Amino acid sequence: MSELKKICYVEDEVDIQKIARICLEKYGGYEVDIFSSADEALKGMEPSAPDLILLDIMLPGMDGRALYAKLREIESLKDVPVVFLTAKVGYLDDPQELYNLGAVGVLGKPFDPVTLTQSIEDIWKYYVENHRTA
Amino acid sequence: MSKTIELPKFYEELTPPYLNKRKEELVLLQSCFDQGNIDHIQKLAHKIAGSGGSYGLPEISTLGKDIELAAIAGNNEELKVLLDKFTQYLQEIEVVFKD
Repeated sequence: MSELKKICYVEDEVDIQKIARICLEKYGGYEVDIFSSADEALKGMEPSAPDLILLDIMLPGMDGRALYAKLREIESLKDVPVVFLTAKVGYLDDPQELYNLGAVGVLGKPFDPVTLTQSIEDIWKYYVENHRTA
Repeated sequence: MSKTIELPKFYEELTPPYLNKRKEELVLLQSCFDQGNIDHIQKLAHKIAGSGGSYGLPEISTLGKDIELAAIAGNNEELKVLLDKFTQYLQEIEVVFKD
């Protein structure tokens, strides 16, 4: 099975960036790049594609859905699986709508720092077993 | 009157600065409310809703979500009640850390 090594997270809230980095780097052992906006992410991700992208929906400027559509147009990033992380899941965002867009996972915020890594591992495992063809 | 919450040591370096930031933000939230800037309250509340639970404080996330929804609904009466509740929560909370 392919190994999950590098994760990019697009999230504008610094407190969430901080705790996500601790969880993913310290407990998950992943290489983690965090971007605060869609523009930053588009510039930063293209030269070195990650294995997985975590995407907030409510971002300044271009939102997460629009960024997702842009990512699907970029050759080096179009096949990188995307997991949405949203604080609105369950009350404003419909997870099914995000899966219909093509997300491989939808996680709610606030996330539990103790189980975040395991949730991402589970999504990755499912993705590799069910979606990946290479 | 203080309300003591016990958290694992994991949060010891993380939660106190997070709480301090929320306390500093109260002034901004109140000033936005006084000026009728409900849109900014909604944005701040959304961030609060998405982060509190990750710092061991799910009540902050719940209050953030309620404030966000009241702001979206334009319900100023409810918003005032919730901002007062949020202020009280932050004034009363005391966090201790255990292994």
